[in-house]
Amino acid sequence: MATISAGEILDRMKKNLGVPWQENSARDTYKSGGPSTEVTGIATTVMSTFDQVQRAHAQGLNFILTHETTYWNDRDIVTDLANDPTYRIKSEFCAKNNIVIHRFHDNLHAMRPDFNFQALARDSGWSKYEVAPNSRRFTLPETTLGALAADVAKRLGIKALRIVGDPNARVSKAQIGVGYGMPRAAGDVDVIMSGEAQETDGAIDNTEYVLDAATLGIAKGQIILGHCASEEPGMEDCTEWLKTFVTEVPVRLVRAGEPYWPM
Amino acid sequence: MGHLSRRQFAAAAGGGALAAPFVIAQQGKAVTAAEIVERIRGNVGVAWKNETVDTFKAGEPGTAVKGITVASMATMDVLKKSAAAGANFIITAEPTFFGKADNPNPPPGRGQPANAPPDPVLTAKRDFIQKNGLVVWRFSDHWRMRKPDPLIQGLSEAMGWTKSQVSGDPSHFVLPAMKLDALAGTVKSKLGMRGGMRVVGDPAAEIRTIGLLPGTTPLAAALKMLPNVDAIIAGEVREWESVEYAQDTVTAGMKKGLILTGRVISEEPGRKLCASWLKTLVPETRVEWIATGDPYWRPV
Repeated sequence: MATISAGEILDRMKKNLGVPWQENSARDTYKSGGPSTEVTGIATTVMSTFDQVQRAHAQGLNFILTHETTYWNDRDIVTDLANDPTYRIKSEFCAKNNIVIHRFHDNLHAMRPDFNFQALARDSGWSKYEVAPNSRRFTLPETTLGALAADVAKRLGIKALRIVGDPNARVSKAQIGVGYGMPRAAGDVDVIMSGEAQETDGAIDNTEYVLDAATLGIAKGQIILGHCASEEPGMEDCTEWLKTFVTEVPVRLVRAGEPYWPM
Repeated sequence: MGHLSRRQFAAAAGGGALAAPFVIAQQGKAVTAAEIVERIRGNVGVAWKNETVDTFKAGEPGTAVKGITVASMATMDVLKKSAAAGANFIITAEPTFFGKADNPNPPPGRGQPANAPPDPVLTAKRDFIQKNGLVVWRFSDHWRMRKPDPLIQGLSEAMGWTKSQVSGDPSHFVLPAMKLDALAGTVKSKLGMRGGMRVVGDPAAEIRTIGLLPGTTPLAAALKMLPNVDAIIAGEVREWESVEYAQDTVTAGMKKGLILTGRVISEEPGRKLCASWLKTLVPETRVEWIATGDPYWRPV
């Protein structure tokens, strides 16, 4: 069987991205290991938690391509972590098992279509209602916020989502974000949906806006899915894309699921 | 003279200088919102910052105060309940006009034309405040600078844990062992939550020591606290920061938990404390805490 290194896989990704690779991305870098390591298999994941790393290793996959962080901060800066017991255990596990971790975030979002938007719309059952390709806006058959949220939760298989707004509000016009990007609830949209959003005191406080709309009887809703819950569907599309140009080794999505349980 | 503007009234009364004293003389001992803020500044016990969000957000600071409500967030619901109760001065911890900038007349948002129609939610809120003569002032930066941290103090009082505090560390508590899911259930009921709670960790993990991180906190706070407690009860953290850290700590074999309540809910008890403090400071008028409540619900 032909061998392939992590660096060679990255080169192929750059060639197949469809847009110029952002070499200066502070996010999309190696978090463990480096380009020369021989790859036994690729594990894609929305977030390279220690659990995901262990599960990839158990499947014989030593190259982890992660959308989100490995060491709990956006730039994966580890200088302050040297004495943290969790950091020591996780990083030693990676080193001992020849694990390579590379983030695929900024460059994934630069692709068109963006896998994560496309897949979230599809898995939510919304694709056919998109007002224009890649517009991220949808005209859904009119329903209540409560029914819509329940339907999305069921389709995505998630439980710890949080909803703001009147469950009986009649909604149709929707806009989605993924990860930490929540669209504006103000304007010509009834319901917004994304992964994670600052609750208050940010640039745009959608939560207070939607609460006030509900008090005023104006139909608005906000569906907060969870960061990983909103972006894991896209990692499936990313996996299929990788398989089109990496044939030497297995390429598999390792599902993270929700980090939380609800109560 | 109801139809006269303030300026016309001042002119009719013989000049701007007379207008204000007339109002005060007419109201007798009434205290204005501005005077209350001055009292707060003089008594809060921390140096007042030059750059602060603790400013008037709506209404006339010179308004004679009939009653004060203290809230986590001056939502429409909070404003309506305040006005119905006869209060006209609302002291909030969080923004009123949907963002840190707290601009009641914001420029059109990104992607919106300059002549976009006025936003109905913002307009209704602004109009309600004006029509009811309300004054809204934010009190966040300086309240939480007090020692001991009033947010932690409020949350521990709400949980009934003040006697379980670890000496020398106001944010740590030692309690009889309970399972993580039982603890989460207790937090949910004590804080009157709806659907905002999310928990990381094994529901059966035995929890004895607990740390509190109300409000919104960065990774550094969890890094410092989690190694020293069995569970953290936090308001708001980021999923790629403290949530992943807690997950990894559990995967690494440590029996830990992270209970997330949401930011507003975690701050509510600290606002109750703020209301109690203000009662002693403003004896002329009624001061009441008013709940903002859990913003979230989830499908059954």
